[in-house]
Amino acid sequence: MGAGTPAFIARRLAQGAVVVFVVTTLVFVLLQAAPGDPLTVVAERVAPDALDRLRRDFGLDRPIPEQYVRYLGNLARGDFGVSLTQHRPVLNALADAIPNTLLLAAAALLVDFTVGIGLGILQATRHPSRVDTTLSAVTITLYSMPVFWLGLIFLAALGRGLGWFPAGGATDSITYASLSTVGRALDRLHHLVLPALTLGLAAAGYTARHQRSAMLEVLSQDFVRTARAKGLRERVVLLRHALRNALLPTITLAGLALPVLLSGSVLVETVFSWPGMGRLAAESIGRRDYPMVTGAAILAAVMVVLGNILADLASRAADPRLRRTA
Amino acid sequence: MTRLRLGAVLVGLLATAALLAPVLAPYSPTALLDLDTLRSAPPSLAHPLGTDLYSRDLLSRLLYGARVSLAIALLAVALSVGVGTATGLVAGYAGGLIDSVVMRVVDAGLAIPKVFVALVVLALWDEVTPGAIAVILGFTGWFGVARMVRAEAASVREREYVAAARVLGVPVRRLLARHVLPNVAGPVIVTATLGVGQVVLIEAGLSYLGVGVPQPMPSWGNIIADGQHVLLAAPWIAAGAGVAIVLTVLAFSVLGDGLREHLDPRSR
Repeated sequence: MGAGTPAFIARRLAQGAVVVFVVTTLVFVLLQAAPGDPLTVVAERVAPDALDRLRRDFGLDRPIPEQYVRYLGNLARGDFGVSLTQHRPVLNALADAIPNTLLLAAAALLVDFTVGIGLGILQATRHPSRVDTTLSAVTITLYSMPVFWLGLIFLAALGRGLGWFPAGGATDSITYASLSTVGRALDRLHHLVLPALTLGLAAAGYTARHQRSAMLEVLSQDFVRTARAKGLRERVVLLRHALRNALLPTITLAGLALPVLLSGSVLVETVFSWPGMGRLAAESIGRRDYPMVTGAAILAAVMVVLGNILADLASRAADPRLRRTA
Repeated sequence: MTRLRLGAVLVGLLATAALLAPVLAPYSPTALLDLDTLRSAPPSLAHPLGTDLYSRDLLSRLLYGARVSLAIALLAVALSVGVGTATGLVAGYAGGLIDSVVMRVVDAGLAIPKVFVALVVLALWDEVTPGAIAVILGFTGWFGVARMVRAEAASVREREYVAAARVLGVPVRRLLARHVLPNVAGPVIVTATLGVGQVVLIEAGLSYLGVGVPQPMPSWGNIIADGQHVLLAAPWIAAGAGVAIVLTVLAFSVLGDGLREHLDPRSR
């Protein structure tokens, strides 16, 4: 880690807090800009005088600045409001869903980086050749693939068709309770494979393109020529000298990949009935449960901010130059 | 064939298909042709891509869907490029407090995953039209462009020729238009081109979730949603629209890469 790291973390956390504060303000502005208010959805089912009373109860008749202050105050106390469909605090509902989303995102990131870095390096070391060109076509196709469509293909072929994997959910609803600890872990893993593969492969296209150009850049540098000139084996040149440098920009990419993975998780979780935050948000919007949707969006932003800080720390750990300049 | 040319040809073909949909489509995209005999009919001469659950002709829906998806994407990208460029220019050139405030908003906008931003706005939208989707995606998609333009504007500001022009009394608006804008035009054009593909993907996702383009209007996303429960029995329903999306995003990606190579020879 090195000297100055605690100060660095403190500074990044402070910056992150500012970003999260602005995120909450942005969400408030977006809600205000939308036509209608949270109660228009129930308006047709409620008598007009009852509607006025509800507006008063929710404070929606107050001036916007006052509503904003109250909204911030509630958020600061960890009060995200009450879900209109689940009739329990939004935070409780999200707390149940977030571990599933984190599990899926972590597994997807693993697939993304294993496949993406692997393909990128293979392409760069075979550049220029037919292998490189062919794989370029593969990665740009992955990059262009709608993630929910890829998920539906996997679901149809490997889930319902061949029956190798379950057709949805995070656990087997019938047998899970009676399984041993090991059995439960295996059951979870079995359910995780297809969603993680879908989300990870869709993101791997971009990672591979990025890794390929980073590796090509490094391979053209003087120290690589020097390493070859002094007669090192090509394996050592590639893995020890080139790869270690070409991986540095990819670590930063992990932070950037997080918003993409969370966006994708809304769709992938819906396809595979995965009980995470994304599916919760998607279902809530169908039912007009706006406190749930905004709560999920704010927490997704918090995850992105924390993820970026972790990626920065990992970059500093991997690259001594960043520690010196900071 | 260079990438630029390949991309231009692909995008040209797509645009032609979308523009000529009324001529090319054999049926109306919303007509229920025959609910007794033509539900989920496999591809045939009369229906080259088959029909859907409601006996609508899929080729016709796909062609009209191209109009809807491409129109939304182009309008949204035009909006986000316009807003992003203007904001980035002002923030980068003004510096100071304006710059800090604007860039914190941009940081926040980039921190919320895109689909979540769209969901937040759509949550209070009563009736969603394609125009509304384009506006929502446009006004929630400008943050990346603003950051890029701002960086360029801030660096150009410090160059001698800009300082000289300022000393000579060139008005700020002209300074931005003549000296700053040309420097950012290239990267902005590339980002906009790649952005069209990204918006097509997001719109398809929202329509798939049922919160985007409303039925019975065709969009590639809601056609896939139509087919998702009969993937094994009638795979042609979701297949055609999925391939259309892949080809479209691919076309704009290739065109964007080609433009980048063309505008910035160093990236080759």
